[in-house]
Amino acid sequence: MIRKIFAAGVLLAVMQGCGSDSDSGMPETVAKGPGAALKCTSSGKNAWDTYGAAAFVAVNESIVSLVLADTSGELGDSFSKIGSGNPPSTADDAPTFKGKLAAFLVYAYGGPTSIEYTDGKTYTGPQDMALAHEGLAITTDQYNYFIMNQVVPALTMNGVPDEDVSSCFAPVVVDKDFVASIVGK
Amino acid sequence: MNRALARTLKIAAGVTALTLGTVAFIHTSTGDAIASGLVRIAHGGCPFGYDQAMNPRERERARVHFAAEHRGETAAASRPALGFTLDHTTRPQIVARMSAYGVRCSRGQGMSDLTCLHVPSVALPGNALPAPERTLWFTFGVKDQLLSVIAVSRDPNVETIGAAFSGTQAALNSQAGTATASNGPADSRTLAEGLLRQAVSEYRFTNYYAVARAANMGTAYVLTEEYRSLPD
Repeated sequence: MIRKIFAAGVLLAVMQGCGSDSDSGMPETVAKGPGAALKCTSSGKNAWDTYGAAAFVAVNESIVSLVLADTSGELGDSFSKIGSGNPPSTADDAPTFKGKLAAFLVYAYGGPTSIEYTDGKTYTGPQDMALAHEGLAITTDQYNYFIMNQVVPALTMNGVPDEDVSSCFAPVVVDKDFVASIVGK
Repeated sequence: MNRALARTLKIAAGVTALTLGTVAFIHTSTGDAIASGLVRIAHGGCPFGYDQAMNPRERERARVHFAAEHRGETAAASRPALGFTLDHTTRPQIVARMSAYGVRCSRGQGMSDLTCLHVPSVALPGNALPAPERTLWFTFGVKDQLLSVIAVSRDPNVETIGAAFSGTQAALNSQAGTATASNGPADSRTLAEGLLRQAVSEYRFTNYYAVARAANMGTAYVLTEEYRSLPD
């Protein structure tokens, strides 16, 4: 149960990264994400309460690395430069991008609605998935590939056991309404 | 007056140097990549690149980047790729073959240069392993040569995907070499145990990378196959 929730949160975070920056207009009144009620097999608690901030940061970073290595190494290289301050205009882009992913991930799996990421800035978790993916025309195959080849490996390589992937991470990302909010927009 | 003039000249020189430096940097490969990424982000596009296909030059660079992180220690005995020949089969050849079997292909988006939908096994050269209809994503280099092919197939029946995974695994083991990493059997019991339960076999060689995954996606079981040429 916990595993399912975690996977879902990760997916939400990454998918949000592919959309427009549309979170600013979201209300702060949403208390819990879709995975908050899921229970990890290993702990009986939700993913956020089971794994905590450090693990969520690690998974977030892993997803970004896997996606960039897999689909656009060149852009991956650019992301490794962004944040270096060279050129100066790139100083905050990568951390900001990752911060938004992380905020969505944390929120989706039972954490707070906003977080302070590793760059010291505050990011908001609740985001409009459909709006974020509008115009991207993501297919079911692309979605499945992303979950199978980037999200699940990011979880397992950071120590999340299979049982928790299934229990507290997966249900969010395989939920048909959630999938429908991303695919075919 | 002289001090003000000197100050103005210093500022002008600084701005000019910064502008020239920035322009020069953007024309380097790294600068170009950063600029492209920033433009995508600024326009609300997907910074991961799912929404825009790379040009062949960018594909080749991405391939080098991928190889640096996934290269193995020995060469593959052979480099199976669904019957296509990595680094030799060309885009026109693939399009022609698919067309002959009535398969619809279109220009790819993001992670592919050419996407072919509902591809039956019979449309693949060399008696490719049976599996449910595949979606194929191809990428090509500067000479239109095949760099990689990714296949995604799905079926509601776990036995179908389990058998396709096992066949892919066996073919890779016999043709390329032993898997460098494997995780989980693809039998129906294991895959059906839980959502996102996976079986994985990964193959890393100096000149070739392949990975097969079978997973329980809830509403269906899915098989992904990846076959990539790695540059020297």
